[in-house]
Amino acid sequence: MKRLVFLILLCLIGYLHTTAQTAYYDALKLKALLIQKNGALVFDDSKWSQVFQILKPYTYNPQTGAYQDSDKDIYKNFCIANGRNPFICDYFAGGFAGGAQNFIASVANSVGNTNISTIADGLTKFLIERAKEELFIAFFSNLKNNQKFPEFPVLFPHTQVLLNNFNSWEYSNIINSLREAFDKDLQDLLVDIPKLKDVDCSKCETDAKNRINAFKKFVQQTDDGRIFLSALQLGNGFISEQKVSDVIHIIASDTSYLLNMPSVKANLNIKNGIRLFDILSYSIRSNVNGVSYISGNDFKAMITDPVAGNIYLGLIYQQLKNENIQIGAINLANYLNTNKAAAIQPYLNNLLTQGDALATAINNLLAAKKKGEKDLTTYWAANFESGKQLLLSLTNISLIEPTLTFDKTIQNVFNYSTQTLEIAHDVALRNYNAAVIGTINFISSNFKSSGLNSEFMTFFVKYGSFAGNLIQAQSSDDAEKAIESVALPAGSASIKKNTNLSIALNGYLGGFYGNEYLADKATNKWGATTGVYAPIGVTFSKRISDASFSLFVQVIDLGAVAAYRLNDPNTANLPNFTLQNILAPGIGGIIGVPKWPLSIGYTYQLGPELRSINATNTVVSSSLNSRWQFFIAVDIPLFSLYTKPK
Amino acid sequence: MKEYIVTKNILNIRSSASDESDDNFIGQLTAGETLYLTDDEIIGVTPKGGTTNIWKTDNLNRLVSLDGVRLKNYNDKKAEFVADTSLAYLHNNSQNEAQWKVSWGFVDLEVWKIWKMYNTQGSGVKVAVVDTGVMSASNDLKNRISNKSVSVVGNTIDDMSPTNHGTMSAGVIGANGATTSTVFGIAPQCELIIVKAGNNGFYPTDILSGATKAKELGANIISMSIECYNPIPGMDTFLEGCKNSGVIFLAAVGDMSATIDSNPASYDGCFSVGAYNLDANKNRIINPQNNTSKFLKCLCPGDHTLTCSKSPQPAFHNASSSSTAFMAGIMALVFAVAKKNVIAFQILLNALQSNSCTESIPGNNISQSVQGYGVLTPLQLITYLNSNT
Repeated sequence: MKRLVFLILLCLIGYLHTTAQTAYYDALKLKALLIQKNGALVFDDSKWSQVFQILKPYTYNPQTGAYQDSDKDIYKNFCIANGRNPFICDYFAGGFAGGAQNFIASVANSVGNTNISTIADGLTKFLIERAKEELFIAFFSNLKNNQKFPEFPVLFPHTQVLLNNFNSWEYSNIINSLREAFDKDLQDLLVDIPKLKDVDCSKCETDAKNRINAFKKFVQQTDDGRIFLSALQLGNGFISEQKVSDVIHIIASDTSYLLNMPSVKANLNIKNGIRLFDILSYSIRSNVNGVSYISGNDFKAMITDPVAGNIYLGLIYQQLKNENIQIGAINLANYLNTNKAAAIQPYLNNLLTQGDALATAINNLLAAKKKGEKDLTTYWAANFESGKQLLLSLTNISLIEPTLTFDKTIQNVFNYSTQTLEIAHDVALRNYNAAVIGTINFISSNFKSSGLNSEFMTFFVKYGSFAGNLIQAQSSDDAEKAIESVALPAGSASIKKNTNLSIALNGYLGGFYGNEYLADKATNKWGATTGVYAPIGVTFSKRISDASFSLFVQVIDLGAVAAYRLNDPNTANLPNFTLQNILAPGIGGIIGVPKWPLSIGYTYQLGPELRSINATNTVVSSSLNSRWQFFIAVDIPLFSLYTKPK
Repeated sequence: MKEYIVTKNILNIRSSASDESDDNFIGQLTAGETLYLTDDEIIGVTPKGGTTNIWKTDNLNRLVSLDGVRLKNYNDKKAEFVADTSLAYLHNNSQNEAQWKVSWGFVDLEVWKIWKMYNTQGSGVKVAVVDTGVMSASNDLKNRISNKSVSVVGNTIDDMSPTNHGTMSAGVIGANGATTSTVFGIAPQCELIIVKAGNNGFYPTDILSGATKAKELGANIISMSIECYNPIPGMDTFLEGCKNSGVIFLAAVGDMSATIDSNPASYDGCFSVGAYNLDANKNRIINPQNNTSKFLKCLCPGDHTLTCSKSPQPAFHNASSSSTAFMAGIMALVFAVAKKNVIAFQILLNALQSNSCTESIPGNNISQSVQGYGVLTPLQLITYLNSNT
């Protein structure tokens, strides 16, 4: 897995470097390729292959999604097709051998997508076939059922691999490994959530399909969904210590994020705004590990250099021209041509100031880690605060031109991103429960119309919190409790009234009035009776408006024990009795009262043998007695076996 | 091998005796020309030859062969010049190139007729190729490069450009098929002067230096398959000198597929040359790479033109680079047979403007900026010059 991730990272790095460009460094490289020719600075024609290799990324055509490949086509893009680049064209010799030439080699940009779901599915099926029926085992086996929980391998990939490679009944032996796997998974929480959109759920169970489809619809078909993904990407960038410029580039150029928002298709201003901050942000991307942007001083030195600064502006100009960036009435290429460096320098200076602050915060964090400081809270806080300020500075395009503003849609990306930074902060500090709750709050407060159904949210909270609890467990007992809490959920009377169908192991405790048949009596075998009613059985419940109706299959009746305990809760030991003594099979119908955990019902039962109990003796009837009864009782579901949502 | 003198005014060679349709036309000889036939015999007045020995007269009393005839190369008789049924497919490149070692343009503009009719392959005419130099050690340009050749950008004329651009331009003009028997240029006996003026690209000052040097070396024709989009200071003065001294200066119209004037093609005194191709139906079409320029003068073959690479294997030259070199070769033939002492810029321009030396490409915008005065027709140009100067 690590190797796969490494390869993917390599591909991503390759992708970024073949499709993206950093104007700052490129301007300096191009300057180094200039020679004096008859008193003029021109590109050295013996190094044209390098010149055009550098310029190629600036010829990106958003309409075709392609770059110009040959030297002449690149020259044409800069100096002919879109008008003459006023900053750069004078550096070209201008003379070409006719016909097509290809000095530069195109670089394959495609990054393969490997779908491993089939393998995982096969492993899961194999393991599921061998799963035991024990509840803990079933719990872990169920998690491996991709048709039932397709989210699990996406959100918890490390854990999934672990589960796939041990026998479910051996869970207690790998608790520590589970904790580590969950820890790794939750570190990637923000980056894994968006991957749910790629889940193939064609073979999922209906509930799972509904959950996944709702998520896909949200992130693929709505502005909010795209913004949600982008904000997560930004947040994750901070945890994984990616360069801000790279993350910005991904969300502003990858069609999975902002560019395919429905509103982008409808409003060119939004698209152009997105592209503008990507072009400017990427133009000053640092190539130093862990540093997002070049330093303010380096930028100043470059932009004030008459040649390098001019080339830099030319490279920005060409991108603005090629992509025809216009926001409102302002054509940014023309604006840059008119105002030269003054057009963008204040904006970039502001950005770089924040970039310097972030770099300092990151350096401090790294230094603290190196020293072995245990409490990194302060450093992380400074890191994320600097990140927030940096994101805010990105949106401040009024520094370019006072009337220039980003559309609210873009603004939202950064507003929401500051919230995902909070989540990222929690993740970085391993406050996973807070991160899970933060994520849910983030979705529910910002994307109310997301269409994400409650089951999706429930799944996320349930298993996210479980993972968080497991990771934070200090002992094996704590770990057992964490598993127990999710594998053996306490029932709730409200479940019956809020779900279309539910099945639960259920108990009741209340009083009854009925008629009892006592086989041992010679005459008047039927007689009225009252008492404490405490049956346990299985309820099959259906919601009816705010109430519920349950078919109750009773198994045992603890009425005698309950009656005794209600009078004497302190006696430590009860007299001996057997299961057979309390066995009381029966059946009946029960109505769940709205808003209260009370039920009214009618049941018919056989037994139990146990008639009464005191501190020293039990009264047991060996005959087959029976009774019917009306009762009113507190509804005590012991745990849910099945629920089907509204 | 037997030789026959054509006594009829026109002797058409056809692949069948059906009628005078162009569909089966494979070649034409005029009175006084020699018809070479292999292993022929004559029965009565009808020659026999080819594979089937079946000759007939068509309904216009013209001799036809069912499968063609085989002719020796008109001049050096080294390579066979085949006139067979493939001539019905004049633009079948593989046939032209594999058997004749010439490009389709050689046939389409009837260059072979000039060779035969005027008995010339450009001998005595100096053609300067201002380009990226030349590689001639192992191709059909071997021993073809004038020792006057020079570089204005270094010490060697070796062509180091990635596509061997200069070598390809020179091959179109002057390859002689003598070394590797792969390429015949248009004027394989002209004096080929190489002036290297650039490595990959060309600086304006080097372009002027190259042109100036070419003129100093006595070139009758300067071929510049170069397109430059910066001004070339001094080029106007230089071209004025060319006009006055009868040096024909040719340059590529440029291949940016844009409406733009390249240099030096847009300077007064330069013949701006564009390219034309043949479509799948062998119809002439304007090369889509051509720039649209009001300075364009005419079109020549400019697509997949057989030429030399730096190795023994042939290469193919394209677009207006190719057409410029092609026209330079033609002009070498024209110089050789016309009254070259009176050929100058204005005379040649008059010829093109007369519409008697060019053919318009139908179905296209006939504005001058798209196809100039049309496709140059060399035979008619020679006829025009000989009758009007």
